[in-house]
Amino acid sequence: MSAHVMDRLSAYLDGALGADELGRVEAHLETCGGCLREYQELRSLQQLLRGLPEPSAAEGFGERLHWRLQREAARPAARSWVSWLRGRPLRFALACATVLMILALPAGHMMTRETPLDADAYLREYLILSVDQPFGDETGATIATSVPPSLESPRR
Amino acid sequence: MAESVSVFGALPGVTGVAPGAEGDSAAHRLAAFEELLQRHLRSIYRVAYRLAGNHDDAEDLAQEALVEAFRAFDRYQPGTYFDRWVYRIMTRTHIDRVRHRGRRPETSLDAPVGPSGDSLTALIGDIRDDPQHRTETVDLDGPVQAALDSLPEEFRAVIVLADIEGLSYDEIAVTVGRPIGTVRSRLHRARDMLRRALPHLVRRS
Repeated sequence: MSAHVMDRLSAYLDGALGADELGRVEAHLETCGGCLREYQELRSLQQLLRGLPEPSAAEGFGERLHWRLQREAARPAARSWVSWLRGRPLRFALACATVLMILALPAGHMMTRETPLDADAYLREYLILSVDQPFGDETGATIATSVPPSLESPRR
Repeated sequence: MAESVSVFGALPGVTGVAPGAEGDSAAHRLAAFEELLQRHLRSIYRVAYRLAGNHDDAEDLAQEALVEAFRAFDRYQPGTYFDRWVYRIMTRTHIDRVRHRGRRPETSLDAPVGPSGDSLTALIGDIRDDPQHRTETVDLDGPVQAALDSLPEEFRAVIVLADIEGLSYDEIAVTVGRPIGTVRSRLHRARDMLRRALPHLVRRS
């Protein structure tokens, strides 16, 4: 008799075996009473599960669910900036343009310089430029104006 | 069940949502969600019940999963199976809830089993002796549900989706977030456990 096929019976029941294994399992089931009995029990179990009665939800389940969903819908949405931008191409384009403009500001200024800036000088230039711009805020101004004199105009 | 669940469909439209553009948007979202839900609530409740094992827990589970699904409704792709999408959320919710309660051992679920199946019997036996488990099975609808309830959650989810809901291996793999090979072996083991737990119902004369 060929090797037992108990570990293949579940997949066999679902028609999930490849051609080779299918042939081997079917040939074995013709000769092995133990495996055949197990297969029949698995099939019987599947029929039992499929035939289970439909469970009845408690009275008022639908209403309770509806009101809970409605309460959820009424809550102010916790919106991330990603969800604020999602599905709104104009907002997305404006946000990109703003970010680019902010980044390009010191870069454009740098391009007109004769010598390149190192990282510290870049930050300082950026802050000073930010103060000069209408977009600048008080925090930036504070930082910019508190730059120590020793850092002023390096390599100029 | 048909009567109680159909109450959902007879409910009035959305009325309690705040007015204004934001409120209108939420109302439309809820209406779209409930329209889909109406069609699938019966199968969603069925899965919740078979996973949870009793009506109280099934209702809690279904509500929790559906609220979560509603929050994530933007990510649902129209035209795809709404029920399967909810099953995925519900399966994860259920497993998280059970783990949070610490009801099930999380080890050796996929460990090899000897030919005698002793470790399976031991596992099912241990769970049946748990007093909490006995309390929760009071209102189960029969020995089959009691046997289902004795399975570790991930095994129960796989067999419920396969043999009660009729999902394919591929669909189950997506639903439970496991590779097909794992689904296949868990389904095999879950069926083996149930077969052993219900000898009088599956054995033919």
